[in-house]
Amino acid sequence: MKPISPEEISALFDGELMPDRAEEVRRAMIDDERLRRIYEQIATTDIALTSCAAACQFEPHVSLPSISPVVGFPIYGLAFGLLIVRIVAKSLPFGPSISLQALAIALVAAWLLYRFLPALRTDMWQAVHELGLGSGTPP
Amino acid sequence: MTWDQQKSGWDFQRRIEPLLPWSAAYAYSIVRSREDAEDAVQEAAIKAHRAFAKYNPSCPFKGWWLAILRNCCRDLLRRRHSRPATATIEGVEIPPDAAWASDQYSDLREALDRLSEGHREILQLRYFGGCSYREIADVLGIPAGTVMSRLYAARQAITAIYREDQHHEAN
Repeated sequence: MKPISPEEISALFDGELMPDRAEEVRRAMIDDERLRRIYEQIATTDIALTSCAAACQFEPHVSLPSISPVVGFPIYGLAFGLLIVRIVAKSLPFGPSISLQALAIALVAAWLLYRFLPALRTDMWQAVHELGLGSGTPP
Repeated sequence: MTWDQQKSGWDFQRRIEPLLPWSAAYAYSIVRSREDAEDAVQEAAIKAHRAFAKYNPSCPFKGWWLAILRNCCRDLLRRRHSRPATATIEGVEIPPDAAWASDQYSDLREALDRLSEGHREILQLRYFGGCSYREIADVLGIPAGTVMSRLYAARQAITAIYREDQHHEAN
């Protein structure tokens, strides 16, 4: 077995050693008092530094350039979809007639839902993406 | 703003929000003032948001973000160094605020100040920034093996300084 360096004990403590090597180091520590002392010393320093760092955490106020609720709305995709629905409905012998006003109301209602229900943005984005009208990563 | 920029903005926001408390602590550990730390995080967030299109998704986002934040902290220190300092970064003195110098961890922070810049920096990234070895390697531009050895050396150094201080206080 490759000799164990104190740096590897440090990495083992941090959970950053490869699993096979970590197992070897753990086994060696059982019989080696010196390796155990190094591990304990690292643990003591770690507790102090972790508490010190935790005391420094706070939630900073960060404002990013505004994300426009209108531009992000997939308006073209939705309008296109509604038009298709209207054409299909018209072409059916007993299909319902959908007026342009109804389409406009549906678009405004969708925008309002999109604007005030953030969870809906992801669903809407996915639907648009599945229709092949969007690209990139979801919001 | 185009639809792609819009999505990119949401993606950036989603990634950065959970990192803000760590980022604040990391910035605070460098600039030693909460007010300056908040300014540095804000400035870094705007820079990172603008540069997000160039971010390579195969690299950890946190490493990329903290590298930008680190540079902003250093720039801020260069601009503001009127208060008395306890430590330096690249020759620039770091002025501490009252909270940094006076709470229950002041001895430990003093020990941090007395470390070499390389040792202090790696401990700041590990503990205050909450970084993995890979993320530290990305921020500092060094191999992961070097992170492992430098982190161990930094832990040894701070333990030695801390013990020395306690020994002096006991005498």
